[in-house]
Amino acid sequence: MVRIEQLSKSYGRKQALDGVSLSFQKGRVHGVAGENGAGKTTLFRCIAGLEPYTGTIHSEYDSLKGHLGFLQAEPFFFPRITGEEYIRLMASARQKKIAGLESKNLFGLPLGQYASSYSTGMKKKLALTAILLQENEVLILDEPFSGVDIQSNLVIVEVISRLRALNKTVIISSHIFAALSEVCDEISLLRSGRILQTAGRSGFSSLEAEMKAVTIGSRIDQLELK
Amino acid sequence: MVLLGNRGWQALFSAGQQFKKTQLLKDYFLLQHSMLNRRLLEMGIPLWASYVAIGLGFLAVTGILFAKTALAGYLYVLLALSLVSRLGGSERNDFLRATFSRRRYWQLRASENLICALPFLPALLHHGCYLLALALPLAAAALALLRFRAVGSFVLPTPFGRQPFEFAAGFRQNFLLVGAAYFLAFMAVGVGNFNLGAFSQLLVGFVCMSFYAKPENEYYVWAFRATPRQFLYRKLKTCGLHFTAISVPILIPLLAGFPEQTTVLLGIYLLTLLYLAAALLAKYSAYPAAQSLPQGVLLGLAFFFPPALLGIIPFLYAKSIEKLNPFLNGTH
Repeated sequence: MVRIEQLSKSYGRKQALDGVSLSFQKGRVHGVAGENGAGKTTLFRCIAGLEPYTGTIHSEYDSLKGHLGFLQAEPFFFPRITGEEYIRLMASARQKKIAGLESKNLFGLPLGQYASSYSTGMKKKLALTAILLQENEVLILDEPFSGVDIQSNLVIVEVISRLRALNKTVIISSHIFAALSEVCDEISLLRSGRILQTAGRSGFSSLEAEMKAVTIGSRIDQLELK
Repeated sequence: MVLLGNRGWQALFSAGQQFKKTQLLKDYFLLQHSMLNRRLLEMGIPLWASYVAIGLGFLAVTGILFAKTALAGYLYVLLALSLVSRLGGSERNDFLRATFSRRRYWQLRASENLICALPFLPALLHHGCYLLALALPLAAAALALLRFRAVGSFVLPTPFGRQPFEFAAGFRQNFLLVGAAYFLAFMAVGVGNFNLGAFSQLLVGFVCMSFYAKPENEYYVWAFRATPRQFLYRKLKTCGLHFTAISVPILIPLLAGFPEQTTVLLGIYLLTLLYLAAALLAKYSAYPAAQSLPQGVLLGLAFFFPPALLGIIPFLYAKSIEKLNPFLNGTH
């Protein structure tokens, strides 16, 4: 379980997160929805300990980051490091040894090739494979579906369901509400660094309707499309 | 139009095109110059000091190279071409190709390659390497035709892949220089030139130090379940083992060829290990920022006065622990 209380973060004058309080339970998939710049990635980076913040983050672990797998929205790969070497590095960072990597190549990636030569979707799949093999208890997946082909999206959805069944804590973000509503048990709506609303499955449709109303409003009408 | 005549208009058009071409080259290189200056300023060093240091460093390398070996001309050309080849990165060139017409692209690439090769010519001419002085600009211009794909299907095998990433990535990026160092070591034994052998040992040491020049993305530190001490211990251990592995093909022939110089050779090896430790710790002492003036001054001091390493290494170690704490212990 991860509990966040009054988490705030600013970059100079810009308030990226403003008093965010959330609770992420074991065996549940928690979605964070919001438009670009709403603060989703900043929130995740704070939970991961990659950014200084004010407020508190509680978890059952002495050091949350040692049990946390973080899929970044845009994973970074060194030039001239193969996919296999990347996975082994990430596993070794958590003192895990991987045997039979070929059979664990969930997405059928060309692991012998340089990771930097992968397409956007392949990079994401490689990074996801690496954090899954780390056997983390808490997983933060920042935009796991973006840039990934339809078949792999299906795999990711199934993986998230399995993680839930394994009693892991899963936190994911997406720009696409439909993707979140398919896998999440609850979704929080983040706007301008604040949590506007958190809804369980029964409240997803009203949450989506509100998102549409606020986000779209009369903007498209003003465009006077012809 | 009537007054100028057909030829006149053609001449005017041609002059206009010429002006555009010159202007484009000028704008492009002014932009490159600004980018270089910004990069130097980001290191926290005044521009004048950077240019003086680069100039003096270049002269020193040139002087040492030509003083130490008869093969200096070839090495010098190799060095020049390895620098030139760095402009051939695929991402950079894809951008240039997409931005400029085919003709302009070749003009820009050939011009910048020649500009990079130019500073190497006076020394080649001064030392009578006329053929090499002629070949260098031709080869540099020809390199504009090549794009060096870091990506692609060919993956250079390395023995370092099990413990990425500095040595695996660094070796793949610099394998030509490592190969040159091995070649020099064998040449040194062949011609009985111990100084050349020692130079090859130092060359491989410098190449390995360059693996630690840039800080890695913070994710690659954050991902470790380790305290800063454990993290640094692991990094230092990997660095020592991998450097030893990369040095063995040099050390063995040199020890066999110059048994009377065993103490010196092992001394150079151990000293290089200490310099590598200093380079590694210098990187993390500034982390996540890039190394700047303080690290440069300390490493420079260590080169001029090696015993200073005994104080510099513990200092950089303490700073590294401090800088790594937020990422490994989450104590921002």
